[in-house]
Amino acid sequence: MNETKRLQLINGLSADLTPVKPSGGIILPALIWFVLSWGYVVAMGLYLGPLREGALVALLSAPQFIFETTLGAVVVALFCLMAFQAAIPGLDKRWLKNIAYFIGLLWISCYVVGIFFPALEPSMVGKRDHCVIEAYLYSTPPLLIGYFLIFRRFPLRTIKAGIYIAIGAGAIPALFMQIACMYDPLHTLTHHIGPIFAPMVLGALLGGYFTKDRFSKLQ
Amino acid sequence: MSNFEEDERRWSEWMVLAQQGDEQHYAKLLTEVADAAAAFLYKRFGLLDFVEDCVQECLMTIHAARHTYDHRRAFRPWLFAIVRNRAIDMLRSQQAYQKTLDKNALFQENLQTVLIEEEINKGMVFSRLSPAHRDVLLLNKIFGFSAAETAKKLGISEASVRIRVHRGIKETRKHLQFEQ
Repeated sequence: MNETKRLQLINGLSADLTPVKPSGGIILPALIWFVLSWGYVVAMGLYLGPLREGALVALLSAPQFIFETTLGAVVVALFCLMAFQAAIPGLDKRWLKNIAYFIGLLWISCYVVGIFFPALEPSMVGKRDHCVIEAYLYSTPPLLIGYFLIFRRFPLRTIKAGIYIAIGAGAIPALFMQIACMYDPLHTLTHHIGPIFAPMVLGALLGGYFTKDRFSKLQ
Repeated sequence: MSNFEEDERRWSEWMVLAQQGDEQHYAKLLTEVADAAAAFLYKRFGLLDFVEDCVQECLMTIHAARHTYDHRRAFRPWLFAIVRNRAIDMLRSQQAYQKTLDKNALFQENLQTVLIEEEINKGMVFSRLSPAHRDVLLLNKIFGFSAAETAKKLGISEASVRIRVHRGIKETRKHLQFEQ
């Protein structure tokens, strides 16, 4: 009985088989997303306001500030890679996930430590009045583009894939604000990194919706 | 060339042909991978109806995800990632398991229960779970008791049942991944 059902299913699936275009590797789309997202965030950020005075000099001269910023960039790259790996069955790597979580936590803990031992002298110089809104504004298009690129492949764990790309998308503006907005680790945590949670929720919801939609189509 | 490598090469070639629309090779591929998936699942979960349902779900997922296979990568990790994930999804959804009992409800229910227990014990996954997680998963997901009924039988709260089910499924996922 079951064998017959299986055979019928196989016959059904293989009848009138439509050719498909293989989705190919993930490095190129991940790289495109990474570059486009950065380009968008930097262009929008510069359009809406200048960089903080002295930020670029600090980026070359203050080791702790360089370290924080580099970690942020690595977090974006790792979560972007993880999101695209999650889009292809069997490609995700446990060790990469562990490294990404570790570096992500290290990045956040830099600012927690920075509350007591700041990398630069905290000041209001360069403060952007609506940096939280800007962070949301900047992260949404990269999230949606990333979502499109990932979900046209076939992530098996859609909510996780949605969250990964959301963290990547949310961390880019957080990192940009590091040189565009005022420097104060507490402000960074609450106004720049904190807003990452909103795209994360959106990413998870989109991922959940996609699961529901996809499996209802399969039935 | 070993059977393992031979299967790998053949499946990869057939999938590439299937991506180009070759129905004949696709049907052959699905037949072979269905057997491989069934063997994988029987070994881990025992001979339950759930396994056959799961195999069919896997075939549909393979069909929907066939564009993601890249011939430069090995076929098996791609295939078994789908099988593992669909098995966990089905375990979570509960309904598929309940069918095992419902279908045989009028036919020697007690005997069937004993047979199912024997089959479950043959499966590697459930026997490796901690007793707390195993009992809850079996009652709630295999035998189809509600969370309230499971809680009553085990003398724990409903919230504990839900937590243990969640953790049990997580543990099951881990076992499946490590076995890969």
